[in-house]
Amino acid sequence: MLVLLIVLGVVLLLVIFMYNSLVGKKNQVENAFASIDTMLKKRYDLIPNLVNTVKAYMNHEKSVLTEITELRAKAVSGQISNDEKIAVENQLSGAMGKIMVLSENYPDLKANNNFMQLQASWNEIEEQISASRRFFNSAVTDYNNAVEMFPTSIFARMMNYQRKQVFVIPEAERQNVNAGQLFGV
Amino acid sequence: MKSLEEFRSYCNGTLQSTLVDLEAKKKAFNKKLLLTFLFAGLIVLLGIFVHPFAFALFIGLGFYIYFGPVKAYQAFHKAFKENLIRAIISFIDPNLSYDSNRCIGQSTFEYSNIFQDYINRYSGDDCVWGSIGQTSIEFSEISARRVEGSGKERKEYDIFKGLFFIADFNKNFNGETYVLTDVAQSFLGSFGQKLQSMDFTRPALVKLEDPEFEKAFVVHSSDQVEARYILSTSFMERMLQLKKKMGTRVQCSFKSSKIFMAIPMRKSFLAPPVFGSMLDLKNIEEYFNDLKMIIEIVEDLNLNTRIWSKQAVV
Repeated sequence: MLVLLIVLGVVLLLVIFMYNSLVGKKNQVENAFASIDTMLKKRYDLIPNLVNTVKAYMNHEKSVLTEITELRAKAVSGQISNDEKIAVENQLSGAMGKIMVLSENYPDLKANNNFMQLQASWNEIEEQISASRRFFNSAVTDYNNAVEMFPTSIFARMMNYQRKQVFVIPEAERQNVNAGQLFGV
Repeated sequence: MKSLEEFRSYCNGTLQSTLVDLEAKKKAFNKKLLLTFLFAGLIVLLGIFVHPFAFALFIGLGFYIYFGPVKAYQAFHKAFKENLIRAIISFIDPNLSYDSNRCIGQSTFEYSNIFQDYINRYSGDDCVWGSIGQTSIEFSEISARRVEGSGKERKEYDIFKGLFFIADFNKNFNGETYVLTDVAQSFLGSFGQKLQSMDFTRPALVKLEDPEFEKAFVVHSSDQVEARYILSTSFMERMLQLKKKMGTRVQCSFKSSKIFMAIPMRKSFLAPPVFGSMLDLKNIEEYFNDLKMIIEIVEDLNLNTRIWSKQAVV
């Protein structure tokens, strides 16, 4: 009798442990996704400052700057789906990267203290976004492993947990020059 | 950074007189050491035949050891550190300061939290500090041990013996991240990783993408995003290269926007030679290479790249 109770107790503990670890992993994914959002918000705050500083110097790049302002407005409007948002973010990264490259043609701008600071902040935030994306991917991988591997896969099916997609950087963005690469980081 | 060729010509030029002087001091010491052995041998021989006389000689030997080889060694040791090592360091970079007696404090060593064991014997020497480009650095030799019990029960545990290196990191961060040698995962694979995630003495486990890095190191951090911000893909690559170059178990912690690094060493760092000649350039080059390897960590880890909002604190 006692043996049976112990066995039941152990099984129950295992069930609780597996259930909790699945929920924990799902929450970790959400947490990671939120961290990307936080970083993106930081970037939105930075963009107007950068555009204003750059505007005074870059006379020939007006179209890129307008594009950036529009993209940012679209991204913060909150009226677009997650997929669209990712696309907008990617375009934004690309356009900002272009500005950073083009700034090479404007020695006055490059010497501007304010711009140098903003550029450093930009690099920082880009690196932080990439870090939070990597965190998201690692959380998703962990979660997907739990969903597909035995025995947690049984619970995942019962709880209706589905596989999640990892972040994939689109081909276009990979080819774009980004500020970090310029400095060989 | 200065090359070995430049160092060789420096040795043959400016440093030549220092080396000649050191060699003379070392020879004086070697001679006195030899005499001590002869003296001791004589006492043993005499002791067999004339007992009372040997005792007097024994006291004489004690005096001789103190005023002979010990004094000679001290003079050689001091000249070695002050004239040679100091010259090599300022040759590598004139911005660096050196104190042969000082070491990084125990509180700083413990603050880095790379080793969690209790330490009650702490010593070190050969402290170098200053800035390389925009990065301020400090390093010294450290020996950290724990002694338990006394007499026959006495047990000694080596916690760390080697070089402890601190540098200002080029990115800002608030949390703490540890990059430690991976023992569990390299032996036990994913089961080992499971065990690591249950290590409650450290913050949460961070799983990184680079499989080679994951095999070599285990990472714990109080902030998952920050850990990846510090350990960018290129930084992980650099850490692996550094580990290969050092050929030893390098462990790091990242706290208060600084990197702390513990590099274990078997031999004593910057210890003067007892036998090899001071005029043999090969012996001198070794000190240059050892120092250069440590100072180069700044370049190896790209710490002078200040493209993020953190600027150098000079």
